[in-house]
Amino acid sequence: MPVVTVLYFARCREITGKVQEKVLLPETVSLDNILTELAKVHPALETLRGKLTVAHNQAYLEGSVQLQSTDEIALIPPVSGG
Amino acid sequence: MWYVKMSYTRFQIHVCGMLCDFTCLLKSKILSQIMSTNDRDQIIITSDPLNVQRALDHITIPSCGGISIFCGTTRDTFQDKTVLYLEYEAYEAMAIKEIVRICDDLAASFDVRKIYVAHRTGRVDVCETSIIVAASSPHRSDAITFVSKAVDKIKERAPVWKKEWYEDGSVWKENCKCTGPV
Repeated sequence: MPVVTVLYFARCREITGKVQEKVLLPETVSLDNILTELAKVHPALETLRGKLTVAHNQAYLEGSVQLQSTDEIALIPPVSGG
Repeated sequence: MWYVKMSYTRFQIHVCGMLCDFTCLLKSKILSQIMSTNDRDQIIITSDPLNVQRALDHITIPSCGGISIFCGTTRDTFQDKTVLYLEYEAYEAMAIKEIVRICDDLAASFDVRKIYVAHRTGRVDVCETSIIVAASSPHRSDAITFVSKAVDKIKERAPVWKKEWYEDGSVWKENCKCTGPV
């Protein structure tokens, strides 16, 4: 299983108390199982399930993807730019 | 022993107990700015104040008679609350890529020749500008429609977040996914 960099922004950063960390994730990930894995480390993230989406290597994740250890995952809470 | 201490106005290097002080040296390097640029586009995420003249300088060209510029600024109220300021945070590398994707997609449908998008991060006080979206086209309708749709899409998709600060606390805002009437 790859250890990848996970980035946290806005509410997720406040909940986890981290800007980023290395996390062991399954080789094949989807939005659901990424959130499940990360909620094991940070249970409070469960409160945002249904509102969060995920970016994989700086693009929104659609469906599932095979992870490499050099990949970057980001938790994306509801956006509010502009 | 070497270590480096940085702040917005001071840059100090401590070497074996000796202090070298380069006051005000690195403000521009410490403030965050990331940019994507090509012949058509300038896309910028920056913690510096935005300057609408920079948009005009980029998008004004002889072949374009229509220029459209949208500036989003901090409003002083939300419902019955007084807003003190907004605080923006961005996943900067992805925000740039997402804005480039949005501009490329829309530019396939509208005859815009130059595009400028700048989004600010950090604290943005009331009346200050947090976003500029600007485009030029040979005739006005393409520029106006492009800018309107680009603003909607950027608000919907760009990984940028704002926290609204009041006298009694703060709230992370969430943009509505519904788009405007254009």
